[in-house]
Amino acid sequence: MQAAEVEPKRTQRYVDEAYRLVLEKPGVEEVLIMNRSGVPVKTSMARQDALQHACLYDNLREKTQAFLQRMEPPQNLCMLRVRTRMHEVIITPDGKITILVVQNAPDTYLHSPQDK
Amino acid sequence: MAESRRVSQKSRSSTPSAQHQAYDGDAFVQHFEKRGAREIIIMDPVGKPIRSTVSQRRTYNYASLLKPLATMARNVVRDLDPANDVTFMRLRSETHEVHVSLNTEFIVVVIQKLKRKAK
Repeated sequence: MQAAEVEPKRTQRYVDEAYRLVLEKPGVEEVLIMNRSGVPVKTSMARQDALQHACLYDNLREKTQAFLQRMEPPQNLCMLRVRTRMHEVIITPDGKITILVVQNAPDTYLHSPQDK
Repeated sequence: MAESRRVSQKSRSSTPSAQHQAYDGDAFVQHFEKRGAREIIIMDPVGKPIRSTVSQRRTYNYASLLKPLATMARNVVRDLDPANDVTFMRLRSETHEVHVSLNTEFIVVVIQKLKRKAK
């Protein structure tokens, strides 16, 4: 994927290809691809879950984008990773689409003090 | 780690260059510097900066913007699954990467400058 100054056209075929490639990676639980307004275009989740995820994480991405724009120098968001106890959510804005991936990366650090 | 923080507190002074020098012996800061991250901000869970290697004004800027973002991320995650909680957040832009580590006692923010690879 080359970075272009103009937003590159993201056709349906591109979306399908990206979806397929992400699903092949190990550890991926769910994939969601949404268009510019935050509407899920292609997803592996149930309808309700997909809408909820898309809405909430798109909101977060916008806030993150705003934060980066206010910093010096104003920068564009490349990737946002939110790691939680049970999994990790990766959000990648990419031209006119946003790819959201939920992957299985259990956080074992929190358990280690208790084991001692 | 606590000892090195106490040492750096003793030798910290008000001028910016001296403030950078004050962290030269700090093992905690050195650990991050090896990876190219010079800017570290430590906040308490409320969002008030406790320690920082950047200037006062920038620390305040970062802290006041990142704390609501971290809170929002936590709300998002807990909305989807009440048992879940955010531990770490990584914001990556073209030139910088901001790591926010959340837990019950501190919020640690590390800002890393990314090296441009020749394409």
